[in-house]
Amino acid sequence: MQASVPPMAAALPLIIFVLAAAWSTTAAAVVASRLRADRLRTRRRGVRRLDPTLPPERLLAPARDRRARKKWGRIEALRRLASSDSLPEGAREALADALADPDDDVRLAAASALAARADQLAAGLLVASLADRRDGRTRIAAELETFAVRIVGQLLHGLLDDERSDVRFWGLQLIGRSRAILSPDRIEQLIADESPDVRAALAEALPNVAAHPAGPLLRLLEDDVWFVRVHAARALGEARVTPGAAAVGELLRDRSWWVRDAAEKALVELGDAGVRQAIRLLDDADPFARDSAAEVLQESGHLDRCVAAAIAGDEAAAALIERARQAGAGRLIDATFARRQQLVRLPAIDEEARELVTL
Amino acid sequence: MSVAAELRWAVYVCFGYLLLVYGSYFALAAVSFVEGVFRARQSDADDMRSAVQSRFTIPVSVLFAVYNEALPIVESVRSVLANDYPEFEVIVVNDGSTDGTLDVLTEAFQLQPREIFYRRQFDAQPIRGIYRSAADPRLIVVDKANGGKADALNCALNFARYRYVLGIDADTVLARNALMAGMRLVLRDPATVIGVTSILAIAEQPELRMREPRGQRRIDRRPLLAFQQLDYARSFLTARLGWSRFNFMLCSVGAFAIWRRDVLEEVGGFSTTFTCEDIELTFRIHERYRRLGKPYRILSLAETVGATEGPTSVRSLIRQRERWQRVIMETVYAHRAMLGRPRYGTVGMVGVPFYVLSEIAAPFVELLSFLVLTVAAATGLIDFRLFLLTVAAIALLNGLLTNIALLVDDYTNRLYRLRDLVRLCLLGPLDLVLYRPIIVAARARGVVGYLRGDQGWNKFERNVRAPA
Repeated sequence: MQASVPPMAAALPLIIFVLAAAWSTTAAAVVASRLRADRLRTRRRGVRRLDPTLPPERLLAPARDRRARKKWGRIEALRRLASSDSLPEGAREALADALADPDDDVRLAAASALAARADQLAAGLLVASLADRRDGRTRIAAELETFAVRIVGQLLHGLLDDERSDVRFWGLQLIGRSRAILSPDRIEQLIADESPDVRAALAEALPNVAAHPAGPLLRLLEDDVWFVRVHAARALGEARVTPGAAAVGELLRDRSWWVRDAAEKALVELGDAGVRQAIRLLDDADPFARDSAAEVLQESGHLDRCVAAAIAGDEAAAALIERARQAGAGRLIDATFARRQQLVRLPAIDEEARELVTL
Repeated sequence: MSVAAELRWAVYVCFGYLLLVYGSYFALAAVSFVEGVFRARQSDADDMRSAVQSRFTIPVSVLFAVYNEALPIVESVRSVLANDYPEFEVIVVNDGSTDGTLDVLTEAFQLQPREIFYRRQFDAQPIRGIYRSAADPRLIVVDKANGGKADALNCALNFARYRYVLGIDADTVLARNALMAGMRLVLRDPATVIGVTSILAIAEQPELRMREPRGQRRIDRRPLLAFQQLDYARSFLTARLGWSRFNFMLCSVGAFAIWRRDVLEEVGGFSTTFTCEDIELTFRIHERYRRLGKPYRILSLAETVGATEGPTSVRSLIRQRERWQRVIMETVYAHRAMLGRPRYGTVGMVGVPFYVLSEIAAPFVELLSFLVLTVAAATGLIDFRLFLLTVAAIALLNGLLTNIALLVDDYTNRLYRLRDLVRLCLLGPLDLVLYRPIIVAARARGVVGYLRGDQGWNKFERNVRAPA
């Protein structure tokens, strides 16, 4: 054995020396890296500090530098350039190029930098980017969301005429957030849009962009596509369109769980009108509708009020509780009583009352 | 063949294995270093201020599976609820705890009984009660019969309403920006990024550690916890970052794992037939997406998204690591069809073989190396000086890997005090003699447990909390 190892034995001290040197160097690098970071607290990592007094014209060259190894410096230059009060000639092109860059990091950094400007130029470039690039749209939209309507409104309306449905979709999403009113003709045109994504986005936007959202929303409640119905139901609730409660109530029987869930939450939002529909549906033949109706009564606080009233001797309230129990919502009634127990901390009295009500 | 000749061959096997393993470790560490530096710079360049406020930011359901976690659960849930993220919900499933976990939650978050009709997409044990917090309506607590962590997570999935879910452990305390840090790359490309995990710090009491400001955070004084911190750092920052770059990131840890919900539906949720659920799920998703040729990314990040509790006694550590070894063996065996198959790309050709080399073979070869080298040195078959030099070389290799991990960690996070970083650097080479033997013993027990078909959780006892 020993005869076979001398070369290795001879090399080992050298190997150890090299390893010890490498270990010491990397340990020193850890310490040096931290000390340097503490000293340059505000500097971005990997970016050569740009002279703060550098005029915007001098930022154009690094902002246009497409070499991969200069990427972080380019981002820093773009940020500085976009924050300049007066943009030098060629800056618009440099920022537009960055927004069209195949590299996500460059593109998103340019978007954030432009959003910080929040002016017409920035809005124009960002809206164009939203239309032309499929990837990263969520982030671009989040930046555009921060713009004032007077700056971005007109540009967004232009997106609705685009032949690409995904562009119309994003236009509507942002118009809904900006609360820029759409004309009845435009709404009519969008209700008939061939893309369900666009129709769903319209439903979501309507409470904010229509002077009278009830009519269009009620029509969208009957859409063939389930997620359009989901958005229409949610929007009806959000807009408190109480005359639509009956139509929303019908959706508690929908074949899609998501639609039933949205309808249930909308009925809660609709207050008394929603509660009336839920009470009506407690005896429905559809077990899902019965469950959802009972949950509406719970989430709206109606059941809690009924329990309190029943304990106080209200027979109508007791009868409703019994109806809900008959509808299969026994656990839900139990939960309501348990909540009341927690509230008044008089378990014995409540237990007694509960028996009375159940009888 | 004589005993000496057999020993000689054994020594060659051990050296060969060491060369192969450390060669692959350093290759991965180099890739991880590049990836870590890139991600840190990317994070700097990425201005998320609009996304933190935006309704376009994809909402997340945060899922807890909790069994007898009365001690850490409240701080953990509070840390999630305090996150700066536009829209999320928190679903805590109490998996039949017997230590008053539900009472603690009820008291802390003013839970009120509710009945919520949910989609039963995943099988789970019966539910005993559903509660919503009166203090924060984003929090739902589901009390169910005990069925194990995977069963509880499946139950939580039934209640999850959002497109992405984040599974975290009851002893994990998140940083305020953890959700945004985890979702940052998802928001860029939600069609492709289906899973994200990230590194966590180790502490005796994570909630106390997380209160310390960035740059001033301490490493626990107990060496056992410091060694675990190094173990995590090496695992995430010199291995998983590299796996992530080549898209064979094979273990999204249960302490912080983001998944796209439809992917979990597609693969049938968490499996209850394995000792742990996290690594197996990651393997299963890779297997399906590679087989079907779907584009996807599962990423591991270098940002410390929180802290999690580490065992403070050797006994507890052995129990934890023994379980990890069992589940690795169960998982690799269950998905052995991917091994060396070009159809599975980097997962089959690099990821699974690496697991076999560094995780399955490791307990046997580490034990064999220890025995063979000790016997060879004791009997004079190899020079005792050579033996010591070999040990020193391995210790320095570990120290070097540790330093690379610390470089990436500090470059990315700037969390710890300088003096604690120095302490960690100094502990790196000592890992071989002070910490590694414990892990080797735990792994050996894990192998025995696997062969015996043991599937117990063997949870370590939570550390007692000092008064706040």
